[in-house]
Amino acid sequence: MENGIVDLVSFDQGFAWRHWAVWYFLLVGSAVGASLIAFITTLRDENDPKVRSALFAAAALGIAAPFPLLADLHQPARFMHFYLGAAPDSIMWWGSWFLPGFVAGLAALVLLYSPFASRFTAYRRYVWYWTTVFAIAVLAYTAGEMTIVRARPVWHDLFFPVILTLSALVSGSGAVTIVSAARGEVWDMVRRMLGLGSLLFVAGILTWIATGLGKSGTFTELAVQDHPVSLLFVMTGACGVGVAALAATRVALLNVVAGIFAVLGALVFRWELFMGAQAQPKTEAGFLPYSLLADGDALAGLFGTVGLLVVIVVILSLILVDEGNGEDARPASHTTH
Amino acid sequence: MKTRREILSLGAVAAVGLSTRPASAASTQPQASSSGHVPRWGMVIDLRKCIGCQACTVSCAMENAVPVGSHRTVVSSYELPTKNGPGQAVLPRLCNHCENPPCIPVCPVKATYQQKDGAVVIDAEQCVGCGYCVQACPYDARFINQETGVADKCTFCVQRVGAGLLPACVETCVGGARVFGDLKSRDSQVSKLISAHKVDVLRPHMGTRPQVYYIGLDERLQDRVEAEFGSRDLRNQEPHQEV
Repeated sequence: MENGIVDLVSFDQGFAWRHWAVWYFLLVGSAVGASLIAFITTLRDENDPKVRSALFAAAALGIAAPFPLLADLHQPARFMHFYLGAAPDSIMWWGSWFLPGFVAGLAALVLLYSPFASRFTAYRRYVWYWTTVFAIAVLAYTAGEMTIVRARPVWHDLFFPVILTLSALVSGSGAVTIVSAARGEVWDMVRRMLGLGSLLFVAGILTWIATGLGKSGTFTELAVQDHPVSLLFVMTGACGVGVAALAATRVALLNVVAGIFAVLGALVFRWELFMGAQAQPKTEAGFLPYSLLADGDALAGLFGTVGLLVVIVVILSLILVDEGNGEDARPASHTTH
Repeated sequence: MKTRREILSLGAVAAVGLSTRPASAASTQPQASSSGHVPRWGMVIDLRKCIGCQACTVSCAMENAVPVGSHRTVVSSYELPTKNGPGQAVLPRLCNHCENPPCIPVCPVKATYQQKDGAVVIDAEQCVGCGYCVQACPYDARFINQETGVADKCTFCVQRVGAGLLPACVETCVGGARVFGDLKSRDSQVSKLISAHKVDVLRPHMGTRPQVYYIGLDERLQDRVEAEFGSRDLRNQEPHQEV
């Protein structure tokens, strides 16, 4: 744009949402995606062994999710303020109730699928309904709380909730694919969801970029003008295509790679959506500088989140064992086609 | 008909009065009302008088202990092309204390609210520092205070106004560009300025109904300023140096 305006004195405000928000949205979105896959599978056969794979993925991601969310509060010790009063006008306040409901449901399901609660298996169905209702509520609130922010044109866009939700489902499928591949399963339904979802995801991003051409403060400006960001968008797109291609195979290792790409693509996408959008000043042009690699705290957060996930995975491996034999669920004892 | 002696006496009284009272405060000094009248505070910024000296920025930071690197009010400065070549324009920015503030409904703990006098304020003891209000403000007027860990913003110097004083930025404005007062009162200087001049607000299409009005606002500065180049780009290019 050539208008001859030069900013002589300008000021930058800091980022209100830090990298922790990216981890949170990745974890909780993927957890919801995985839990929905598990729920759909239970509708056909509640005792299908693949339900455990999806539940494992959902629980690992979902139980980890509240930690980065808490870390993103600048006054984390005051989190109880969410529950000491009512703010029904705020979507975030509703989310503060949906998230514990979802996580509690996942934790209860883990227990109900463990050998310790074999007498209570009749309750699984009710808890699945509970968890699914809260999962959908979490999906709605996470997308909704950002979409209503009119001050951020990147978020205040019809494409935003659609593609964010699609991305959550794709990364959830990716997480389930990783777990089921580690258990020696090839899960055709999830493989197809992953491939189709990835293609839709890439198509959606390209359409979103096309609709914002020439407009200020949009997703397109973020993707096109801010060069490092656009590079990451290309990576995201490539990941999507790669996932779609790899998901078409029945080789377990390639499915794991596809799953990893799906989760990484969702991570990059969220990073750009959340940090990139915040890098756009609301009243002036330009971008505020921010880089994951330049932020030691963000790198620590990345390793901390991965470490937390590893710990939860280990604990779940001890609890969520195969029904009947009491052995660890991970050995590739059954391959289903 | 007044005699010459009476006219001269009136002139002398007026001269003494003008020399002892700050010009901008003469008719805008907020007063606690004993009649039950609740004012609606607002501000008019006459950009023709602003020289971009940043005295308001500094006095605000001093009055409100704003941490280094954050600002409750600033004066942005731009070079704008004109018929006669490049010209300079300044734009003081602060919280607009909107009639329809988007920062309030999003708060999940009701820490931010609007007083009866229109000032949008934050309960620092209640705020959890989630930053949602910072995202919702279309004016970049809010920030997370890195020392307190809670949301922070201009309050129209609620502590000073409550004591019958003017906000620090108004008190310090050397050009008298910032005028503060009761928008409900027809006799206030802000109301008179609004009725006597064409005034504009920032980003009117956001539907927030800002209560900070500008006289002489260039339409190119009213919304997101699409500067081609400038200080932000220079900051991004140069290695960051601690000052």
